[in-house]
Amino acid sequence: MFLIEEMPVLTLNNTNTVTISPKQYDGTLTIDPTTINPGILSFVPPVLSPSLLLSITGVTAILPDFSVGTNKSATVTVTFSDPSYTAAAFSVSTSVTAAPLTASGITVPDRVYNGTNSATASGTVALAGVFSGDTVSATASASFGDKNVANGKAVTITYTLGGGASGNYSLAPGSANANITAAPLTVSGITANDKVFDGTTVATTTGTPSLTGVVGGETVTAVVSSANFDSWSQ
Amino acid sequence: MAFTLSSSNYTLAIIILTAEIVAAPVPPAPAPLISSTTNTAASAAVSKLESTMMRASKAQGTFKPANGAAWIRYLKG
Repeated sequence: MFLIEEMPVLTLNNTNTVTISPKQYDGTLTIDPTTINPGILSFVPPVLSPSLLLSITGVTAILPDFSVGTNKSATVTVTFSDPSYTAAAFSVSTSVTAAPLTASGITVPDRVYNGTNSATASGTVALAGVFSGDTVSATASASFGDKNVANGKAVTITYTLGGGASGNYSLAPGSANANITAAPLTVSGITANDKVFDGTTVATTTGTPSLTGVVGGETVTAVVSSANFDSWSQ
Repeated sequence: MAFTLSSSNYTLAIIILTAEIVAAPVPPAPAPLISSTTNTAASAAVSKLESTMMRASKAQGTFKPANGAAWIRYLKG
């Protein structure tokens, strides 16, 4: 009489129903088991022990590499209640998304109107959220929503990441508030006329105002709104 | 001197220019209505008026000269 010992490698069914949620980059290959949905994964019972109370106790997965990307073939392994049984690992496609960073250290100073919405990002960007061993840096640029003069204008700060691991991180734009103040002009071409005493300070002028300091090819005109002597007497 | 600009994105400071206010020409003095120096009758009338004013000067008030001139308001000196 021969005793045939069954190989404890089970066949899995419905492996194509297993899904893995996208993983946020953390610099490792591991995948959080809670992000694995086993779907209707099942196995073919052992031939010689079909009544054995055997169940799947775990589904784990590991990435082929830790970098951000899509269509990554994660290797999925199933474990059973009886560890003497195994099943062949299979692949499930998943993706790795960029890890978000936060930035600080940038201020936007007020400036004088210059005809553009440009703003100055002052300071050095300090990043939080970079995993140990990664090299990431950032530079900042800033812009107002529009070019016009106003106080407390919203400014958008845009960051550009650099460094060897920058591709694995993301950094959302920041915000600030700053003022755009009116650009000073100088005027020429106007003269005040002498007058005969009339008991008032009212003055008259001659000439057309000519403005210096207008930017960006803009057209600005000036009209004399009032002219007065500092005293009505001689 | 102040200006109004066509754009609120600019500012223009008040500027100061110089000009002169020249004196207004003084009109010639009008001829006196009564000349006490050239008209004897008028001189008498003025003397009478002055005499009346002297009496009135003891108190403040108004009086109407006898020659029909307008009421004169006076103050005690």
